[in-house]
This record gives sequence, C-alpha cells and structure tokens, in this order.
Amino acid sequence: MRDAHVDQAALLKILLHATKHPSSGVNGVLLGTLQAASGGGAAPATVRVTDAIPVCHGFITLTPVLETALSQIEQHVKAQQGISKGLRIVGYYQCNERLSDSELGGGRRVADRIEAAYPESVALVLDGAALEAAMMAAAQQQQQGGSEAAAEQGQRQQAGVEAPVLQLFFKDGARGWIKAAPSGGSGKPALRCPTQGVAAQLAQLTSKGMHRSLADFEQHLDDISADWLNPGLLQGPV
Amino acid sequence: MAVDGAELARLRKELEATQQPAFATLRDYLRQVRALRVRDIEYVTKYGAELLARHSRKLTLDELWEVHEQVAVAAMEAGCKQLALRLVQNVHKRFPEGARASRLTGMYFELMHTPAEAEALYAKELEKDPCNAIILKRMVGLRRGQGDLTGASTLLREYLQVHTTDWVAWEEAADLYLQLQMYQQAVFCLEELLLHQPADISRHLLLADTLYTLGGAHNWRAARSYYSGVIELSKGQNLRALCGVCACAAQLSGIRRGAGGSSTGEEELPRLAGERLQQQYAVHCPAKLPLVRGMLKAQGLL
Repeated sequence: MRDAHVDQAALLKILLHATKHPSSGVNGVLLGTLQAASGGGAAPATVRVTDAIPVCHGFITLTPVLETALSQIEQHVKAQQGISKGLRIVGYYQCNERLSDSELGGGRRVADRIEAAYPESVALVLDGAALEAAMMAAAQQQQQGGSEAAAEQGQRQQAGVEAPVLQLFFKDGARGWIKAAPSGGSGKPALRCPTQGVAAQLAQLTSKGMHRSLADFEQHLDDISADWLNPGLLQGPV
Repeated sequence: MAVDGAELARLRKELEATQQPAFATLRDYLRQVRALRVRDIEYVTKYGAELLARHSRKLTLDELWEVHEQVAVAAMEAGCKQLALRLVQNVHKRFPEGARASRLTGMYFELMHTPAEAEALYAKELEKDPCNAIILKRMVGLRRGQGDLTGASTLLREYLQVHTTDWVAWEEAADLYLQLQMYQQAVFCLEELLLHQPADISRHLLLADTLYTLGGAHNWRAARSYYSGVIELSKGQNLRALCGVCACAAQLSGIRRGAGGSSTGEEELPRLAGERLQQQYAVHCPAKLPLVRGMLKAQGLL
C-alpha cells in the first residue's frame, strides 16, 4: 500500500478525455514511476503518476482494444528507458458515464489485470460531483470579474470547495480494490493531486478546443493518423 | 464506420473553417448526424442553435421541428439549460398535445433533477396510449439516467417482447447489457441487431469485442469469424478487426499449447492479418510500427 502523487499533466489529460466524451465512460492507462520511501526497507513506495494514456470511450469494460493498447504501451515504455529510466505502467484510470458515479465498478477486472502484470499499480476514478462543483466555482469566480475583492472572495470560496477531482483505489490483497480515504492517515494510502486552479485551467483548455485535439487509442484504430501519445497536447497552439 | 463518416467529416471541416458557416452546411451537417445516428453533442448544440437563430425560415416545417427536437436533446446532454428550455417551450407551444413534445418536456424535467415530474408526465401520456413506443422508450431512458440500469433493462425487455423489429431498441438493449456487463445477453441483442443491420461494420466489431471479452475457445473462435468478416468488408483496412484477429489467435494458441495440439490451418489468418497491420503502419504511421511489431512478437505472430 502506497501513496499516489498525480502530476498536473496527467490529471489534465484525464479531464480532457472525460470532457471530450461527456455522455460516455472513458478509461486509460497511467504511466509513471515508483519512488522508494526515504526510510527504505519495508516502507511502501510512492506511485508517481506522470502521464495518462487515454484508451477507450464508450464500452469501457470490453477488453480487446484495451489489451491491444496495453501491449503497445508496454513497447513504448520499454523504448523510453533511455530517456525516462524507471518509467513503467503504474495504473488504470476511469471516468464513468454518470457524474454521480465515482465507483470502480466493471473497471475492477481491468484494474486487476494491470495490477497483476504491474504490481503496486493504482486505480483512479473521476469524482464527477467534485469536478462539477469545482467548475461551477471557477466559472463564478471568473464572472465576478478582476476586482481584488472579488478575487479574494473567490479564493476563500475555492478553498472550501476545491476537493481533489479524482478518487484513488488501491489493491489490498484478497479484499480487492479499496477506496482510499481522502486524507489517508495512519499508514493508509493517500492521494496527492493538484486542486488549486485545476478547474479554471480545464475551462481554459476546453475553450481552446484542446479536448477535441486529444486522441485516444480507440480513435487511433479508426484513424491511424491520430496519435494516442498526444505529444505536445498541453503545450498546444497559443 | 470510416467510410460512412466521410461526408460527416467533410461537413465538420467546413463548419470549423469559418466564423459564419453557410446555411446549407449547417443544415446538411445536422441531417448527416441524424441519418448516421451519431452523438455529437457539442457541435449539434452549437451549430444547431446557430441554424435555428439565423436560418429557421429557410427550413421546411417538418425539418424545422425535427431540428428543434435534435438540438433540444443535444443541449440537454450538454447541460445548456437555458437553450434547452427555450427550444422545449417552442416545441410545446407548437405541439401542445403531442407525445413527442411531452418526451422533450419530460427530458427537461430530468435534466433539472425533478425525475418525479418527468415520470408523472410520461405516465399521463401512457394513460392516453399505453402502447406509445416513444414514451415507453423514454421511461427506459429515465431509469437509466437515475442509475437504475437493471430497471431500465427490464422495461426494455418487456418492450422488445412486443416490438420485436425495433432495431433501435435492440441497440439500446445491447448498450444497457454491456454497461451491466451481462455479456451473454448483450450478444443476443447484438445478433438480433445484425439481422436488421447486416452491413453495419461497427456492430460487427461490437459483437466481436463482446464475444472476445466473454472469453473461452468457443467465443474467441466466434469473435475471430466476425473480425475476419469485417476485414473482408473493409478490404483489409479496418485496424480494429486486424488487431482483433491477432488477439484471438494469441488467446487460442495459448489454449492449444496447453492442450498439446497445433493447427497450421488456423495460423494462416492471423499471420496475414499481422502482415497487413505492419503494411498499414509502415505506410501511414511509421513512428508506431516498432510498437506494433513488438506487440505481434509478444503474440507469437512474428
């Protein structure tokens, strides 16, 4: 059992993937590294998620596309060892069809598969309700304009509502996938993921159409020119 | 699917190319979306609203109200409450007694989180006409929106017992069973669907994917035959089908190895599929060719 740190870039790709397909579920694979705890020895490693590879949209519990993607992502990771030593598959992400559903559900089977092949893997599920709240708060703050007082009030409001928009699940042996408590505590795994300004940034990216530019593996199979690695997506045209 | 969508893709590019798309482009785009039954929430909302705002007089009456309905549904799916309300009110004013109008009004109630009002509205319509297919199907949608997939699938099963040729309903049933991971039932619905829509490549692929997911030698062989059907239909172009054949081969050879048997007859198809895949990537996506070769090697096809 270990903590999971999610980089901003990985988080934004997950959110863009979900935004691109608002009325269906989406899923994908997490890349990153395992960082040994400073104490060494028996202390569990931290999972650091540095990238998210979007895979499916629609029928996310069907396996053929995901298996094909996993196989090629493995090859990609191997090829990257020169540049990013230690890069490996570290987990699975899923965003459900309905905003109110933040359970792993049918994704358990896929998460099991990934965890069996890549021990210590985690699963991240979008918390749609938290995202909706964060987006509304960000929109409100934007509407209140640029005055300092409004910005301050917005900050105070945001500090209250900016919960992480992802839910962490970890595999606990025979008990299966367990939802991590928000703050971890007493040796339990905790999720550390950016919260401040995430909704505002997502709104900015979608207003530039970044979500439309994101390609998942399934899209690549329909259109071979679509690049599921999405290089340079977040830098994007200015 | 790629072949079907060529016209749609062309119209999309035309729309994206200018700030003020032409009337014909807007109208034709919405028509294509309706014909292909794609779900393009963002664009239908945006461009549909524009068509209605600037060009509604140029549409025939029938098409005007079809577009109203289409854009209202998309707006609701996009969460654009004000636009949805305006459109739904317009439809209701024009068709105060219609079941189709009631369906839209009910959907608006569902959007505004008052499903009880929606249900009451649908119940009233069913009193007038207990066999109204539109409302019966909307009840399924209501349950699904509430997260009651099992309830939705029960209602839909009852509906299909009467309306056995409603292929749209068979498609929705397949969708529901897939969400519920009741794959055997999904296969049954998809087979029915293929009877009505035998040329629909995406449905062949969905059935193949479902059989593959179910697993076991019998299902992998069945999946393989659907994937090879798609390879033929697409003249070897369809990547999903090519990958599917290779994946089935890997699963089946695993079984054969375990059972101590081998069958050279069965190896020809995946070998050819693997070659075709490499050809496609070499020409159209050489950067990913090494990854594909690595995958084929891991599957024992290289």
